[in-house]
Amino acid sequence: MIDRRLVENFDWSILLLFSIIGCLGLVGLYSALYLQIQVNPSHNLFVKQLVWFAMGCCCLVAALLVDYQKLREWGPWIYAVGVAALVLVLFVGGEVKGSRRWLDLGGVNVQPSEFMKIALIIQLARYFSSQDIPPYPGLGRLVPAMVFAFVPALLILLEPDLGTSLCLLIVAGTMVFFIGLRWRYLVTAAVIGLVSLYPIWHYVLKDYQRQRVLMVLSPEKDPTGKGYHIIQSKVAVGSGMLWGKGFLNGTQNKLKFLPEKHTDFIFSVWAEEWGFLGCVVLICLLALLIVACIRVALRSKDRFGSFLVVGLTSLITWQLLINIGMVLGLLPVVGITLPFVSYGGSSLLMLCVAVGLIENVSMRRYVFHPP
Amino acid sequence: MTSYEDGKRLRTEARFRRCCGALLVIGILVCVGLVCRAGWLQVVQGDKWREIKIGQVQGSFQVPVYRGTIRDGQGRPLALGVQKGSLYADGKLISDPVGTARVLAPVLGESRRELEGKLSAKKRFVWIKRGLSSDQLRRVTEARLPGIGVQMEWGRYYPYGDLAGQVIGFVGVDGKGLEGIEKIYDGLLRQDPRKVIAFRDGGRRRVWFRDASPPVPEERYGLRLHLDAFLQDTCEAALEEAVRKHGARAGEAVLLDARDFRVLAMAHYPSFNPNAYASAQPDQWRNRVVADVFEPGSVLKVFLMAGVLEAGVYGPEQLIFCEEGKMRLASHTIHDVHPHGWLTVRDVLKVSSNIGAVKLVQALGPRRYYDELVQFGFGRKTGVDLPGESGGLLRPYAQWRPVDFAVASFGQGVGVTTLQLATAVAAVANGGVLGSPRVAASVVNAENRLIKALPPGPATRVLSGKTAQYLKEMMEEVVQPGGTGTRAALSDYTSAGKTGTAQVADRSTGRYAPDKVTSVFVGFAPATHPRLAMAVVVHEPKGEGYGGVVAAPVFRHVMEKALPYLGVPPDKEPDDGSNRPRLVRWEEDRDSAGEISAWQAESPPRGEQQVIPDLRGLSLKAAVAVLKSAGLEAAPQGSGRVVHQEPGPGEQARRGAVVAIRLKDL
Repeated sequence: MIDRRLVENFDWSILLLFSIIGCLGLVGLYSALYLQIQVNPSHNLFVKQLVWFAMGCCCLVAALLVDYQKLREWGPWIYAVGVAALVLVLFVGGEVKGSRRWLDLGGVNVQPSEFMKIALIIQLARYFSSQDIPPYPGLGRLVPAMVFAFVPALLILLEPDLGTSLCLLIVAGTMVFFIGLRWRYLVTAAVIGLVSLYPIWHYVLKDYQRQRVLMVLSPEKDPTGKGYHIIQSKVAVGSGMLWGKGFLNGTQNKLKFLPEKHTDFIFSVWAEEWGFLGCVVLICLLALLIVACIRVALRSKDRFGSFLVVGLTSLITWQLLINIGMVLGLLPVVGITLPFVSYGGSSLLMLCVAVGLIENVSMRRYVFHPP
Repeated sequence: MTSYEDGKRLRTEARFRRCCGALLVIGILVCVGLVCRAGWLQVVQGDKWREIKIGQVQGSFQVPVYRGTIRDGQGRPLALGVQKGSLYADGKLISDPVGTARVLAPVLGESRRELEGKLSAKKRFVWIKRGLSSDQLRRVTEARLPGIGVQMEWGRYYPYGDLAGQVIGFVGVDGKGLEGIEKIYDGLLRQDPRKVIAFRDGGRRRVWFRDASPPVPEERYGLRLHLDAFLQDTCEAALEEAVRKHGARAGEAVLLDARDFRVLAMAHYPSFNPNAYASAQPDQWRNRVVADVFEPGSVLKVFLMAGVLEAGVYGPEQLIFCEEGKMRLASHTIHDVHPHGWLTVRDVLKVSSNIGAVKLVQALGPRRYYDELVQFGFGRKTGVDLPGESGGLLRPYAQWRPVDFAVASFGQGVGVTTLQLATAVAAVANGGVLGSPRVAASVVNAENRLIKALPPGPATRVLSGKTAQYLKEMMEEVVQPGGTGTRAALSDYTSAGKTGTAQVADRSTGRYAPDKVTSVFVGFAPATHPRLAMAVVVHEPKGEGYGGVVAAPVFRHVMEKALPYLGVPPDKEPDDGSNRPRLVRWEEDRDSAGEISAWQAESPPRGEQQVIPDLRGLSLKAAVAVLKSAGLEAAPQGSGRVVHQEPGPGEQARRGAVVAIRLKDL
């Protein structure tokens, strides 16, 4: 079943980069969860993450084995399952800190919104690669794509989870950009966006979300309250200085000044302990991964493969850019995690699937199916 | 494929490549931007953020310090700084409330169910139990339960209860000494906590890393007193007996070392328990020995005699006519208890003739009498290391009317404190040198090892040695048959003293109350080589309130125990002819090894008859060892330190006899 060419065309650089980033991520996570590990060495989030990693590798292999062409057929079903799960989570989801994001699958909590990211990308790739979508499609051809994206985005916003919701829209937007967007649509969208900014600001955004945006501009106004996240993150990153404080020596992390240190703010833990050099290394590795993925997109044998890879790559790219931007105090605090590094089972699993699918496309770039 | 589709595909591919390029460029550019931002924060602004970090992470923390222990002259703890741990739970760190409750319940003696309820609450701070015993604290700490923390609180414990309550004083809730030694040595006992740099976490709690463990509370200095718990107890017991027996209002007694003015005991009755100072009347807190002023009565004749002899106005053997018990002076009449005719100066003191005293003071003159009293320390503070001291009441002689200085000769119209009397008589005993009394001896460390001896008070000669010798002999006659102080005579030792029975001014009328007296005795022993000086004051005894009847027995009871206890050799054949052996003394630190060797060194020659050693305060091990070396058996009961023994110290027993000892945790 395994074709020799499949192995030949396997992109080892992506797997290598994925492995290195994953390992560095575990190092950072070990630091972030050090106190937990001390209290309970056998039962903590780090051990859980290791288990998730193992499961992720299985998913990666699974995503490799199935020819991605099959996804074209399964796309609508996968998408439907994703939407159904999002609806379900609104009713039976576990509530944490006021949002319902998790489904309990026999003791394992999963986030349907993470699954939805992949499902949406497959669905959009399928739609954009169909023969009847020309470059620079008209509005009529774009509407279905917009519906595909907005339905799950809205459902996720209801959880509420603004970060993931935005993430979906940005990824969808990127894919539209790849099929080609007419200038007037772009301008119109920009105008509508600007005009609707005011009502969105006042009526859609919740109070805490408005505060977060304002806090990027001047976190010092409320250092112990709303600006706390940003200031503590900056303190952690800044005090790491050039060389960092060294493994397990990050005081901001260990003394519990950093909030959400193992999820959204894992990068500050990394930056504190490994300094500017550590930041450069991690960012470079992530950038190389993006380059490698885009290369796969360019080499793909068909449009479906290309769009699939583009979608998955943009997902990884935007998440890491937004997350690091947020940690460095450039963007508002939205709940977007750092790919491969942040703690989070569903997220990690889906990223592994994403890497698997990208490799899948890469492997099968010379494999042609008889019509 | 058609050519149209080929063309479309080509155009699409070209566009797709451009888009990929755009995504790549945007991604890389933003990555570079992020790197720049990181560099800005970490390299350019790094120092600033580091300072902020240090500011919020580091804080100074004070190492808790015990309030210094107050010990008696033998090292027995009179006041202890104690830590009372209180237990709290951090619900978020407790993963196993049931298991934790199972461990804690038997230690705390609380119901497991109730504990589980407290531990399951996911609160960051819940008090589990406050004021744990040291044993509970140790067991909880050893259990190392996650999420269970100990908050230390400070307290003070007085192991001997109300022993010397007014002398030791007490400490208020804020840790400040409010009375007695606790107050005057507050600066020494209340030690400044040492400051160390500690880390604080985001919740403002202190955090200790492996290389910087939390500092252990320490005790740096303690205070050792001259005061001796045994002598204090003896004094208090004798005083209490006198006050109760005579239905008196109150009583005070001071025992001084006559050689160096150390305060060995300072007894009050009623006393109060500093452990429960709040439940005592604030009036009882006052150290009446130094603060209360009263008219001392005839004991002042001692100092009149000192003046008379020193000035050479009269010699001890010269005769004075005592007017057969009645003498008019201006509009007043002065009485003697027993009418006397001609008396020697010596006998004026012995029988305490007021008329004789008046004649002597008239011969001496007010100025010289006043100077003599001032010399002996009346009218001014003794300078003792206790708070609230009064200087007494001695009006300048120029203000004295003739009758004033006449009655002052037998101690009326002059206000003194008990301590002034004690120091003045100690000056006589000491051969004429007056010192300043001291309660505290030295600064010691937590292990009762000497750090610094406190300087003795200033000493001045107030009397020539020759006069002092005369005076001592005269005072010795007071306790001999025919004198007023026969009840102060001791069986094994010579003693000397002077009684006093003073009228008490009624504050409401300004006149002397007809039925109220103050019974006073001052004295010292052994008379030949004075070691101890004592003043006993009993206020308002009922019935026959003479100082010789009420106060003198207190002196005798105390001296008969104190002198043997201090190892003073008897200087007199016992009246009944029986030969009592001398007692064992314990002056060294009472750690077991020292105790045993001290005993063995001082053990008298072994014979069939054995003296029972003083075992009080010893550990069981030490007590058994001491008894064994004396050829005696021990029958212990209880645990801790020996508090009672039967037969008592100094009694005799045959070799192999059994001594019952009762031990108690102090």
